[in-house]
Amino acid sequence: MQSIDDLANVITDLDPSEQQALLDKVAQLNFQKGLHDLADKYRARLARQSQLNAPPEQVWTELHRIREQIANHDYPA
Amino acid sequence: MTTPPERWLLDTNVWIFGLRREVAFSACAQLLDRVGSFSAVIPFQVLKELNLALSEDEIRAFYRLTNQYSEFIELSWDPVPVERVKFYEKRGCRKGDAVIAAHAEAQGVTIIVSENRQFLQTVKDLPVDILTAAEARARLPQLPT
Repeated sequence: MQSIDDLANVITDLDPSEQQALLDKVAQLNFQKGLHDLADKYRARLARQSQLNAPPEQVWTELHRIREQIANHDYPA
Repeated sequence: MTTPPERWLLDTNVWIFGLRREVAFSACAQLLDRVGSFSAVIPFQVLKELNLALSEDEIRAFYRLTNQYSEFIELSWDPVPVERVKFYEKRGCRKGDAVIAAHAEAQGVTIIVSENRQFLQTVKDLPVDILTAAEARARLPQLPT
């Protein structure tokens, strides 16, 4: 594996546009890693609550309920 | 000069089915894997729904992520005018979906990504396109293999 210094040297040899593309890609991958970690945490909690394998229809019902509850609260007729 | 990514409003169901990695809605997880190729707009109504669906610890992790990568995710805390909610309700949306459509309009977003069939079938002839996660993903450039 390359050292940080070696990697930095490789990167500084790139065109500025390539450097920017690389930085953007690293940020996107880090973001994706964070999102995957969140998904793992969420799924682990659902599994503990025996909800992970709930049928999608049940999830839909809950999502619809939450949506209308908030909307009716924020925008009463 | 690079073109800014398209801004898409991701409905709550896309986040939830994506994070659950629900097999029946696998395109949701695949689309979340591409956030950054487009900018995800999250309006107040969706934020509130996620707050109820996720635990305190999970929502904290979510906000940490959105704050850290604000170039990929845009949060909006602004409510929408009630007249615009009524406008979409009159066109057949349920109230909650009307709020989402009004948020999209207020944010200048022309694409809502949702798996909500009723929403998909109701909103026609409006300045907002409603795409499924699979349709949205198909708009993105293919990843190199």
